[in-house]
Amino acid sequence: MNNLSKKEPFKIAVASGKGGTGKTTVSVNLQYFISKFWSEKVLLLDCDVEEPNDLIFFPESEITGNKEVHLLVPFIDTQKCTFCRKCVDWCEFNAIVVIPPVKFAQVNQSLCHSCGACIVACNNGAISENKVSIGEINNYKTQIGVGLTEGKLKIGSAMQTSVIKALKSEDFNNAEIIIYDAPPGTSCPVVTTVSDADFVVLVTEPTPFGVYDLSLTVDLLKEMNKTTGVIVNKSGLGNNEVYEYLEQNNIPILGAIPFNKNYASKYAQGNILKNILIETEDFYKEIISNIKKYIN
Amino acid sequence: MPRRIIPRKVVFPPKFKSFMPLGDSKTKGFIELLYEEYEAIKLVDYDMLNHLEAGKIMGISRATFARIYEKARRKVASALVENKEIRSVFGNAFLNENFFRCNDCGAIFNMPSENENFNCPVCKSISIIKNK
Amino acid sequence: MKTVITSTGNTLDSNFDLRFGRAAYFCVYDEETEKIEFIENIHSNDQGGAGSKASEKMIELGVTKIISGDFGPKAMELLDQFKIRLILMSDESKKVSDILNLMKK
Repeated sequence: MNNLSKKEPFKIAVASGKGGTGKTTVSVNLQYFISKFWSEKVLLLDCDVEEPNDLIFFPESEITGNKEVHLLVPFIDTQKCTFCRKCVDWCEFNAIVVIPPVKFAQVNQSLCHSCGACIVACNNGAISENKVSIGEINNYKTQIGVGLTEGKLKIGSAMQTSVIKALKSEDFNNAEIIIYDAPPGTSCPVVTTVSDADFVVLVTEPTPFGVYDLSLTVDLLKEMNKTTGVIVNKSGLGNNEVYEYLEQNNIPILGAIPFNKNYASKYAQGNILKNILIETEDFYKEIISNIKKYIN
Repeated sequence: MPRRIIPRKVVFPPKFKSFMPLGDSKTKGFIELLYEEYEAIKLVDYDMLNHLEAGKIMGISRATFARIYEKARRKVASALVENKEIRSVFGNAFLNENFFRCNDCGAIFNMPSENENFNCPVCKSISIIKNK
Repeated sequence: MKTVITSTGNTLDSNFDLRFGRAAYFCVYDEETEKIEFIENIHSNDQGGAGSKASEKMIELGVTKIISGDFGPKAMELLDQFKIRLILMSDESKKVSDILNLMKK
């Protein structure tokens, strides 16, 4: 465990291209088994800020902290504005409307990405910033590891990345390992989530959809120079395409979790951490030892 | 992010606040009939439109319209059978209170300033329905 | 008195465009001089804010009436502030010239 003696915690991101392959299941289980076999100080970070649902698996959790996430949204003072439209040209997101003949200038809050370009653009000091709430960060104490922290985006806001960044800038000084439960897909929130991860666990399923979406994510992570390993969840279903793909692209398989109907019904009841089967434990033991192998 | 509910265009909102059953003192409870549900019933059962046309008027798909309509009928039926009050509630509507419709060309338009004449701005017809 | 008709192309034979912010062209018709001009909508493929950009253009042009299929919430809010008359038509098979003929009648 030399790598754990560093001050900086070791970060594992759990991602997938396709939704519903088992990111949350794997994240929750990984935290549980890492706390059992690797390090007690393991934190679960729910980065799927649009629909954070890791909490469902911890019915006995207690909330220990709550913080609001703010964004600075510009505001134009029409008294000072000369209607030069420089800010409009700089704005990438069409969020500013300036109409010189009628002396009208306004920022549309729902389109603004808070990049701050307009403030730099304005030569007349007509633009100032106001705080707008876009979501919140909740800390929970659970029975496992050092708990769970989740980001929650306000409904209607499109600023996932800002909430994820705020979530990551939280102080986790007592955690040695952090597990990021990433949102599905390959879009900005996923990129933000995996950007500072030391290892990315990709969860996929042996179906044509799983393979296709996995390949998109693999391409993305290659571009980001990330060390990755794949967990094939629900193995036994579908076909062998995924194994062929992984072999062709030299991507290590960390483990395969066979499809089990009883497990699925346990999941549906939110009880995956109760009465854990020995076989499940074995799968994750293998996965964890494989992760350790690849990070060294 | 769950998909935002598209506001349903309601051209003629209900003119009543509530309907009360008479003759039974034991009337208990109420149902909330949303504006869009009222509009759905009106378009299908009063204006005799089909679901596709009605959905178009309300700015939603045929399938969404059918769901709203089904819900509306269930609500009204339960109110009639169970002697409940029917209250009209705004719901997910967006009203075009100042919008008018031309009977000749079918154009819908608003009157932003008050001193405008009452002709259709497209075909200048004077056969105008006021959406109120 | 300028009127704008949203159009899918830059000729009078083009079909009427049901979208406002994402219309391909705006046909500007001046009722006094009977001049007809087509303006390309440079924001039609933008990721967001096409409606408010189009409204911005309309207000700049000093348009008093806009004929389109529908207006989004952002566009409507802006256009309402400047008392621009919104006209909604639902027949997408109509050509721009058909609507102009209706108006000239």
